[in-house]
Amino acid sequence: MRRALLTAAVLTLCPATLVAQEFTYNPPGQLVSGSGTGRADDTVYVPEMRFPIEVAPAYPNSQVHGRGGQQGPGGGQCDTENYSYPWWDNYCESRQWSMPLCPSGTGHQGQDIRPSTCDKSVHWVVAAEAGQITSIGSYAVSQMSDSGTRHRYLHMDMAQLAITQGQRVEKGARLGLVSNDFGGTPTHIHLHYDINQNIPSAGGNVYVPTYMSLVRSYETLIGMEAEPCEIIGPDGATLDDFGPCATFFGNPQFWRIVDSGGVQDRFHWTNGWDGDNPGNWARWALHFAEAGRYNVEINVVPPYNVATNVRYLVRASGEDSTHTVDQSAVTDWFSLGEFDFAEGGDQKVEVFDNSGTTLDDQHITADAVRVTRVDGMTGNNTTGGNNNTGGGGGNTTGGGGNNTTGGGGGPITNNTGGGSPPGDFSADEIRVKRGCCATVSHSNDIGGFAPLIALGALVLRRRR
Amino acid sequence: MNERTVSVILVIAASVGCAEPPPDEATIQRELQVAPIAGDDDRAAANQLEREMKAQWAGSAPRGPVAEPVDWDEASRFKQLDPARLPTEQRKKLAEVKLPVLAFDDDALLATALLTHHHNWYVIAVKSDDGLHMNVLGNRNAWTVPAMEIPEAARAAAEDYTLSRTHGIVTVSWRSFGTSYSVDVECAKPMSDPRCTEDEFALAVVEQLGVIGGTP
Repeated sequence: MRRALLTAAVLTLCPATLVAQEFTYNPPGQLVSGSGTGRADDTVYVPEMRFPIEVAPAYPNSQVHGRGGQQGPGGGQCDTENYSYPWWDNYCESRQWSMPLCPSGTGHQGQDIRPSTCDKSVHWVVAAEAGQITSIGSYAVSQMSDSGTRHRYLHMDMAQLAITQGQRVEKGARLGLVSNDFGGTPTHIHLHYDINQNIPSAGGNVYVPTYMSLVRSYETLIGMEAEPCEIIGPDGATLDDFGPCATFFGNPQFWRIVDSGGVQDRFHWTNGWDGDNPGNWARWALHFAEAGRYNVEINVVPPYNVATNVRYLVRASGEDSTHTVDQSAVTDWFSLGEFDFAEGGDQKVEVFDNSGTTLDDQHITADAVRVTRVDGMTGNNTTGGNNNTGGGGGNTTGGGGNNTTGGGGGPITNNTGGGSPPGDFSADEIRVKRGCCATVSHSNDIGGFAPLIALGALVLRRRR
Repeated sequence: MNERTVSVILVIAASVGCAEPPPDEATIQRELQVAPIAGDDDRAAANQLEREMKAQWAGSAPRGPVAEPVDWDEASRFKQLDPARLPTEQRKKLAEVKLPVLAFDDDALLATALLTHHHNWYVIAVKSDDGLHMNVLGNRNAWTVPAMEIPEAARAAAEDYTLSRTHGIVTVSWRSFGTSYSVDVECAKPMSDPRCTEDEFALAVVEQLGVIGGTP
């Protein structure tokens, strides 16, 4: 209950921006009343997985204790209550079989997920990660990722599978259609999905909680822009933090807004800290009208530029590079380098708050991103990889650094092509727009004490 | 929650939030100047609380995977199966698996075997004509989860085995040779086939497994 309050209260900080029908979820470990004791586990066991149903909305909840279920409150499986938010965790739901990580020692191994509508053989199940299809049974399909995580998908329409045993699949590849195949035994139209990892301290290969991995991946799914937020023209563009392509993540109260200074006289800032994963981060989505080489610059606003090891990620033409910037050494625009961007989207700039510092007041500016065409090829598409020449540019003292062709001694250190940088920061957290409200919403009206309640709940959560 | 915590919360509640008017430059400059002063407990506490709340938001993530060391000596002393019992195409893969490959001691099942693998894990999937599907997974890619709460049941399982089920599929998990294995048993008629409704069959399958390959 404290955790439910957390979700509700945090979001009530900014009630004006809440949107009806937006994604809401009950906390991990909170099961339907009377269905057992859940595991309150915030861990995202597969941080960058794909949500296993192709299209939102989808509704994880119990097919046993929900409407129409064997132990449900009556009604039918197609009841609208089963096809609405909030989500319900049902990992560890009452079962008599051993489950080492469940508080009672027994319980349900995974999560039941209903697709958007109560129709069988319509909605695609997709691969949560890239990997191999290791087994196809009578109603179960198992897939192993290269890193050794097993994803299992039950109750698909086994007569219409899109894969074969032994086949390699990419993340997001279609596997089959959500159905109710269960060896002739009645069950609801749903996907049973579970994750198995080798965790020696828990006894070896164990079914781990799926819920927060699903939450994160779903937030990514519904956060994908159906249309480009803004198309960057052939010469480039400036993307403001209050523009349509900027998204702020993490606890919204730590994205502060200042209404003077920065691009368009408004900007965000937060404090750096020493976490393994980011607590707050921001993303500027980039969608280019033309492929080409562009200089990428970030604006900082003194005195909100105290942190010295601020990490940025640039994704260009499918390749990620990380760049560490001493914000205290620059005063306004500085360059992260030059990058070869592809035409189209799925490219971005991100900044993270886990700068590794334990000092107080390590302010990090998150204002605007400016991309400027530098290859003089306007109108002619270019191809090729991402050749970051690093550093320099803007009004900084130059830069460049590791693995770049730029000069040394500046505020920036570049690391090109190394895949994702350390930490779990490319996985999406609660999505926050414009530094204000998470799109994870809750309709409860807590009243005028909401901010205090929210903070109190967070403290309670911390101490849980 | 003590008074101290409440006061910190009140300080933050008053100083953050979407409706808060932004501080003017003079205020910010003053805050920055004040921040480093030793003894400013409230400010230090506010920073500490922010760090802790960010940590909560960031959550923990599994760390790994790390390849567990394999006790090959123990594996060599275990029951051995002739690799020739596997179909040729599957047998060729055995050398690429970097852990002891446990397999079913049943020629009819091995004739249907499909071996999939990726260095530190493998799966052998088999099936029978009467609707039985089984697979054995060996996985030495281990994850650690910071501050993971493990019920006593899990600790006991680490010393023996765990038998679990979902939707009639039986899973037996255990540790051997310094790494982790599991067997799944799935029946075409899960609610009536005793191989899935009873525990004995799955446990017997595990008992008759033997090492059929693998490369140190």
